[in-house]
Amino acid sequence: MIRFPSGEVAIVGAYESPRRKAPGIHPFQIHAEVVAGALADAGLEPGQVDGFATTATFPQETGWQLSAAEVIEYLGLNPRWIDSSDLGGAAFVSHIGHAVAAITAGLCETVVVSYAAAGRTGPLTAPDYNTGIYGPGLWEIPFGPTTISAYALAAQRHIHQYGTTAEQLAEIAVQCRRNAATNPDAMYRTEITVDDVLSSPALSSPLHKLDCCVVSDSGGAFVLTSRARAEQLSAQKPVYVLGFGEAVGQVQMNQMADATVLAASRSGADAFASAGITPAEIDVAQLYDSFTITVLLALEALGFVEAGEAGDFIADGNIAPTGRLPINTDGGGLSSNHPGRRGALAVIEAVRQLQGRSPGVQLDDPRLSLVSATGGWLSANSTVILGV
Amino acid sequence: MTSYEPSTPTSAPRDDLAEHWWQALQRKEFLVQRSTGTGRFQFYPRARAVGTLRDDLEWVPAVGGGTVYSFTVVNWSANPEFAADCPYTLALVDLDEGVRITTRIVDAEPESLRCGTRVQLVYRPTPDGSVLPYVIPTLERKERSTRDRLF
Repeated sequence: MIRFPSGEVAIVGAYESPRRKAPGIHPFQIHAEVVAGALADAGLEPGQVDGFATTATFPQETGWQLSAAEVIEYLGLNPRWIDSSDLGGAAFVSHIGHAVAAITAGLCETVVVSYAAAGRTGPLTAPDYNTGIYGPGLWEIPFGPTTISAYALAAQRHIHQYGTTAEQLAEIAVQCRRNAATNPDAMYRTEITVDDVLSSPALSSPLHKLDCCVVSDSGGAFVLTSRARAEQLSAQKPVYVLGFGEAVGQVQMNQMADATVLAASRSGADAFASAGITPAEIDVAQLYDSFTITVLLALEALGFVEAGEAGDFIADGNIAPTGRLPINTDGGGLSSNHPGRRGALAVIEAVRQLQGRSPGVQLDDPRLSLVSATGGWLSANSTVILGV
Repeated sequence: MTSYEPSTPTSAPRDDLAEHWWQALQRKEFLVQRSTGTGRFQFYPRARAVGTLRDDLEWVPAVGGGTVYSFTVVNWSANPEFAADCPYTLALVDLDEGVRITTRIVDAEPESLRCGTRVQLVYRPTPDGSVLPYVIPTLERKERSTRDRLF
């Protein structure tokens, strides 16, 4: 059992870049834009930041081995606490838990978490596999394991085990597009149908092109601080961090014991236990949607439904704004914004939603929100529970 | 636009364990490791037994039978080497020793495949002189009798 200082740290500012295509813009420029934006949102100055977390090691993020140091240098910050933990798209959610521990331990008081990438038009393209060729990847890469294929393998297995359908998966993409309709910054806003998803190219069966997230150039940042300082700030309603968990599953798909069970089954359990609440109490969730299957698996792993029940849960309209668990209210990665690692952007939408200022579909006074991010090849998951 | 250049996958640098494993493929042997202490098989090759971290591993050639755990027909990749091979059927296969491997299913119509299809290892040369282990669908009866005899 873990002890977590629930409610002792708050997110007091958040900013998502409106960029989606930024040819010729270095990702570090976007870091500067979003850190300035998040601090202005919080009513804080750069000199008040004494903790910083980021990772920029993906090719399209252009940082190298000391990526956090590079970004800190570029921004001219001088933090006394630094975190560059890297769990793929889950990293920036992990940073929240680590920052809460640091702030409550007294190592620092105000932490900025920043993310930026030129996923679409960046100077470097991703190699489409996640493990280095010297090491574990040696036994997988020769067979051509693409990023989409990892999720496709999980989807195929879920279909086999539970009778889940391609139509049920497509419903997730359709709902995210519907949520994006009113988001002026969303990359795609035109309504799509289940048939549109199923008739888009099967990039890696059973996943189609429209089962996959958008690929954008963008970024986002948010600011965490102690409850004491949060109560002194008046710019935004503080959003308190109530629970947290992180877990690693595997990197190679052949090491995943059950391809239908995400590491979110462990990180989610820790998050709910540390917050002292149950899945039924969550008003809204931002579930990492690199692919439609990522969302479906997260619903089950986090305990919103039993194993094998997510397909019916989705088809019955439960993830719509009017359903039992509205998700991805800004359009998510499937329609709004996904530069390569969406975790930070999912946090930002959770914060906006709890503050009543979602650019997509604003719900009526939500109080408890869950953000769950799945990184790598279903490799890692970080989950945070936020509340106002 | 600078491209991120992956090395030819099969020519990646190999440590001694990897070299041993790849050399065995030349003899049409797919090696897995077994902990003499726990009797558990593991794949991919590692320095110590997974879980116990004991230094008690021995090499065992896989019998060659397996079952498809999952599969996908890959029609697109951002990686030019993978893209050149599309479409191909990537698969997770549970070998009868109890380890799961990543491979491709070859010589099979994708429409005929399902999770649970019985397969057997085959060895195919690559242009760079390596040998890669793939699987082809097989009849269940013979494979099962072999497995029962050995385990």
